[in-house]
Amino acid sequence: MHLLGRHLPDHQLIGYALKAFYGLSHHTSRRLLARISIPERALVSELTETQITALSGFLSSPSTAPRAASTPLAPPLFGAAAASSSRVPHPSDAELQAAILADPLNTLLIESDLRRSRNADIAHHRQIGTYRGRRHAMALPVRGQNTRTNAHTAKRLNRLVRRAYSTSPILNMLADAEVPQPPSEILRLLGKQ
Amino acid sequence: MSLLTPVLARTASATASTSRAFATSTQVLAAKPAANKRMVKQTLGGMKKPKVATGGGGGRIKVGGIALRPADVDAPADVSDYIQLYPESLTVANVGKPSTYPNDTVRSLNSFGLPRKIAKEMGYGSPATVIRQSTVDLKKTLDAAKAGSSKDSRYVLSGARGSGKSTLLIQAVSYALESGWVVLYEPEARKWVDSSSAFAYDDASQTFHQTQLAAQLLEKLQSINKDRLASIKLAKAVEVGTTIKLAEGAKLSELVAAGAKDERLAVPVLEAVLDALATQTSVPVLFAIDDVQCLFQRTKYRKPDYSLLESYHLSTPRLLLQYLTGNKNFAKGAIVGSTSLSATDYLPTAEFLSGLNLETRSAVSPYTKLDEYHLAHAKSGIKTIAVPYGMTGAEAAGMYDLWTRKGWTVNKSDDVFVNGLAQSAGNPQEMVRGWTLSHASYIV
Repeated sequence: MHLLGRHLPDHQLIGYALKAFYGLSHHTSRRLLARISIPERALVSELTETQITALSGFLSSPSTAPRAASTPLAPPLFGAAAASSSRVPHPSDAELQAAILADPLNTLLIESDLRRSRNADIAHHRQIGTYRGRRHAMALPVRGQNTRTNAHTAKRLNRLVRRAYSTSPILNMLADAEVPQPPSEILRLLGKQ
Repeated sequence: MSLLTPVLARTASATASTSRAFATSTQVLAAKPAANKRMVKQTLGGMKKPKVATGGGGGRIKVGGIALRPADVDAPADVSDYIQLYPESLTVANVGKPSTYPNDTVRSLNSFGLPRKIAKEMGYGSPATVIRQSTVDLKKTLDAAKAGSSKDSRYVLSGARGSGKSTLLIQAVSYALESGWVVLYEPEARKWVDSSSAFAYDDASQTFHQTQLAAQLLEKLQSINKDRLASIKLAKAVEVGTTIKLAEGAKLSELVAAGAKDERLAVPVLEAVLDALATQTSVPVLFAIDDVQCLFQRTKYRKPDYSLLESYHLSTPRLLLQYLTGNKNFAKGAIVGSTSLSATDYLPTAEFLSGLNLETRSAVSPYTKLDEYHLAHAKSGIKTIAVPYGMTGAEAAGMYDLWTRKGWTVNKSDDVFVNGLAQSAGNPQEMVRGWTLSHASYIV
């Protein structure tokens, strides 16, 4: 099945197949399935039209998708709760707010949104002149790895702008800008100039 | 001896009807099929997959690129001389005798489905079983339950791993089917709670509706009990949704058929069908369920906020729990559940075991945290029936006869039988492992 330009193999569990989307891990995809009430053990081929619509509705715009619906549950057949009341009281506003913040789906970014956000983060580091930003700009490992050998992944991936077709004006500006250097006095003292 | 005479006569007639004489008289029998329903033809070959062999696997033979197992090549074992598992066969005199399931029962069991291991065992040749003392006892219990409310006849079969709980449940189902009960049998209740079928929140009942499951149950109910359901008339008019409207006095089978056809209304229809079955008194009802411990624990289904649902929040387990806990009752009938230790994701919980006064898997102290609701459900007055750990010598001998006849034991000597029996203390599952897998069993 094809969903929003991604191929989801029919024989796979839907929770697993959703990892085809950049930004969906198996944790987040499980949460997404729970949000729209798709059983975890459903295969891609078993999805109904309604379920596919709900999935594509969420994935096409996670930020504007409706929040988790309130589902008050019937009390058990026996026990204190069964005797006390038939309807569960509605949660308070504060509780609702906490639940919204706790749910990672409410702040989920996927695909181009996530790429843009990540590029902006790198650009921000570069702009404020951190070490991490500089290492990105120099296409070197960012987190203290050795560079005498190896470091090929970083050389391949670490850029200010990872994708050539990016249209962000900030990133393009940064990509063309000269890499700032420490003051020449310091470099001279270090014997590097 | 005089007591045994009717039994022997019955045995002889069953034997005669299933003898090989049928092979030459096909047309004669075909001409009057309804003359005597119990005039059983040669027992049909197997349940769903006649090619699957258990126990005796053996090596493969390559014939022109096709891999064949000896089990595929041999004709299924002829067990037509065994007695048939009719209600009247369930007597103390027949304890320890291997017996075959009647063809109608086999067909019904096929429709219900069977637990995985038992399906494999029954899949090769004529489905057969051994009558045990516990079978006869359970038959007596069901006989007594036939006239009274299911409130007093709620049972759970308990016992050690491999002691024959699921088999005993199937024997009870077979008995009820042959005795004209309305039967609903669920072989794997784990499928109700393992997040494998569609579910949707229903605001009116504040539960999650499992529409597919309900439709499947209705379909099974209809295909197996069609005549009995048709004989039951609705005591009051039933209206479900906007499309299903049945007047008072309509056949119950019409309601079941309507629900099975329209999946969206299957859940309320199933509830209405069980309500109708609960009020009628013409036919006793048996609700048999394997993996019953799944109804007393947390499920794998999730709410939209990702928290896990309890069993009583899902429509199907909740409906059954209502009858199992005595919240609702059949006017005439019984509910028999069986714990299963083969569903390792859903082993019996401390709440379930301690609620039923069974031995828990680890010690329960006053400080052990137990879910009060599941505990309350388990403590609702369900009676337990203990299936003994092992078979008696006579029962084991019957089982050995069946196993050797089916060709699942390589060495058919008495030594292998006695070794298996002694080493397993008669536990059927372990005993079979001894017969089929031990070193001695391969020294012929």
